[in-house]
Amino acid sequence: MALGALVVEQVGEVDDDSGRPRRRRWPGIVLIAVLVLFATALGIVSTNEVHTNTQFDQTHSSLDATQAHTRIVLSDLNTVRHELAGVNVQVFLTDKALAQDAADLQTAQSELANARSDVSHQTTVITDLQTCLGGVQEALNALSVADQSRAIGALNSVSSSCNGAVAANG
Amino acid sequence: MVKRHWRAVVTTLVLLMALGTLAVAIQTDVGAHARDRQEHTDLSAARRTLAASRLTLEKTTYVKALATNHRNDLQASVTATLGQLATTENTLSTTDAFAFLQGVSINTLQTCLGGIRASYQQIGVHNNAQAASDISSVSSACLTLAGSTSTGLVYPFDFPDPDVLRVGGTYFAYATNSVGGNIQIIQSGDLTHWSAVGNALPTLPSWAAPNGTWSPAVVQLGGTFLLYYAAIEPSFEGNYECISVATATRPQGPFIDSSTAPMECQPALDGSIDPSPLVDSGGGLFLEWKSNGGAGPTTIWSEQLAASGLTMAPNTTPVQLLAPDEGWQGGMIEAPDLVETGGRYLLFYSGNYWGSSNYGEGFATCAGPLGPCTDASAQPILSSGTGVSGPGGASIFTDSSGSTRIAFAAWTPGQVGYPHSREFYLRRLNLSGGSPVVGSAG
Repeated sequence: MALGALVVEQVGEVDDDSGRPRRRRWPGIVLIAVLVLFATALGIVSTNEVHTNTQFDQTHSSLDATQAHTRIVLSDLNTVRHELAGVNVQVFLTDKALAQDAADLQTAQSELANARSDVSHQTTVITDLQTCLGGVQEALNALSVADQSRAIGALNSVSSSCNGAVAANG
Repeated sequence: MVKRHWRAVVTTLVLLMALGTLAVAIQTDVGAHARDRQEHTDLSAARRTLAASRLTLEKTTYVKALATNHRNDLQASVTATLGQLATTENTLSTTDAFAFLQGVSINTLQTCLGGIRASYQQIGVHNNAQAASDISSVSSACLTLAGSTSTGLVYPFDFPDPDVLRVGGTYFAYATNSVGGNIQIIQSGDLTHWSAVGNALPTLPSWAAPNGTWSPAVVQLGGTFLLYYAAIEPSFEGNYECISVATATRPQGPFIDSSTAPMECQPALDGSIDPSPLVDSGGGLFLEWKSNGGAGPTTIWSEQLAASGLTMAPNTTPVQLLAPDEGWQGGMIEAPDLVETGGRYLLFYSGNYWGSSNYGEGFATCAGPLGPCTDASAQPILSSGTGVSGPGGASIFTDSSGSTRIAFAAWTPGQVGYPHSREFYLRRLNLSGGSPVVGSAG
């Protein structure tokens, strides 16, 4: 406002002087033009700065948000890594336990197979012994009444079982 | 002049201020741009960091998921393996226990078999006393092999047609010829554990043939023990069995039979067997037996004995007590045992063929020791069942506690008929009701 009044005042003074009006007006006009240019430039610069600041603010806000997000992600990552480490420990321990259990199972199955084999063998021995016993008992009954042919027949009928029982027991 | 100078100064100042302002503005703007670029750069870097972090997070999460799945699979495997292990160990434990029991059974079998074989060898060299001893020594093992004693099995060897006599606190049981000799004798103090004594009748009378001394029964008359039994009389056509009597001063014998002829024989009826003496409440001495039938059916007879028990009473004749009349008897009754109890006479007998699973025990009611008797068994009171087959040849006696017992022989199911064994059983007998009831063992 003060600059405008000054310009108006100078122009008025120049118009009132005779003989040198054009030479006295020209610096004022130039000044005004320069000032306008300055004002325009300043406006542009100010507008640009405002825009730049706005962008900066937005960028800064985005940066803050990104950094916050990054912190959250890193926190999550830390948590997941911690959990992963725990799971890996569990995997290691479970794998070790499984190996031990599998070994125990194999041992138990081997023992069971041996025990079943023993049972099977003993079942055969018992069957042979029972058959042998039955035959010898029959032979005893027959011989006790002097029925020698029946006694011999009874013994012959169980001789293979008696031999099997004897062989199985060494 | 001063005014113009002032104006120039002012103008210059204004221009300088404007320039300064513009310069400051431009500088500020350039700074703002620089900060903005730096901020953008930082933002880009932050975004890259964020993206990288997210990628790392996703990868790590994925790896964790894989690890978790692997862990879960492992844990499932552990659970399954532990389940298998538990099942296997349980099966192993059961199998080990079974194998142990089998081992015990094998030892028991070998013990029993060893005794039987030793006894067999002794029979082969005619050493009946040692044979009886050998077989007695393995009685417990053989009894264990025979299974549960809930059936009443107490002596797991051939012991047919048993007769039990109590003398004081000792029980003596006599049976048809087998391993123990012509007349087997075993004894017990508790009716559970029995041991062989040996041969009650080591020597047969001259008229009797060996290997056919059947159905003994012993009665005590004062200090004398009388053994009634059947033996083969070879002079009769058909080698019929006839009844004789031997005496001893001890229940375990040896019993001596010095007779020159049978005491009772019914050649016309194919011989007489299964003698059974009775001393009734009036002091009378009677003998019941069976005739083999001849042209007629097998029949149970009774006749009074002389006071000595060695002969029939003078002027007496055999009285027929009972003949087969029920379908289950298969036309054959035998092995009488007349019992006086509660003021009444009960005649126990066996029906059907002795070498079959149809053999069983029945009873008749009698008005007295010489009859008449009425069969009271439309069905046998003791027959084949769990653990026994073809039970019969019973002997009724009272134990030291006053309880009535029934002794009998039976086959093992599936092993019926000679030369299998008719083993020795004991059970309780309830005579308090109208019909005798065979109870449990023990």
